[in-house]
Amino acid sequence: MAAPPPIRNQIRRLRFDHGEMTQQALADAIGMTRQTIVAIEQGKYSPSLEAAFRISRVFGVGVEDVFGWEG
Amino acid sequence: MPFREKSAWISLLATTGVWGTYFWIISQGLLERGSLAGLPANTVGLFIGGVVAIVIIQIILAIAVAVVSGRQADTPMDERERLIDLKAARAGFYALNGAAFCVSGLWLAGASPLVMANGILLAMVVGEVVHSGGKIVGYRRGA
Repeated sequence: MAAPPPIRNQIRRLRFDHGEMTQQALADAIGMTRQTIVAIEQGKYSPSLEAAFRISRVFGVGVEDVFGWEG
Repeated sequence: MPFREKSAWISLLATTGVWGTYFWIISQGLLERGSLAGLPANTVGLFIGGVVAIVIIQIILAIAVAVVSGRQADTPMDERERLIDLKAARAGFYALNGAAFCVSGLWLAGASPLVMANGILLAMVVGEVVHSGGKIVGYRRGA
């Protein structure tokens, strides 16, 4: 199995900080499925740059406040 | 389980079930004859039955899964699902190519055109099984 991408994210914390936003609500806001949000949160899938920007816009923060490079 | 993973399971199980049964019956006929020069007389009828069966099974199960999945069934594919589908399609393509190459060996063994046609059908089934299986693996792994 391929190693997970070395990208960490703060989506779970940001959802909590935004009124405990559900994964489904975030998925609906950016036009993705809930399963994709789960995969991103668990670090199993690295979203495209466009999706990363969409996610950061939902939380009103910069991309680097959501995603970071590990290593 | 995501709607599209369920769809992949339907495709995998219907394909292996229907065409597995078909090729098992065909292989029994070949073993009885002990030659690749011909197939049982009911081969064409079996093939048509297989096509009808797989279409009916897939339609019924797809409708059932869509009803159970609710609005998930109406949601367009997102980028991760497209990536999973592309990876699975690539794996299926290579499997189809490999199986088709193996089938060409039947010609050297003196296979009849009908046996060759069934070999090509088997290669397509292998490709579809790998495609559906690849999607299931992709959904299980996350991408």
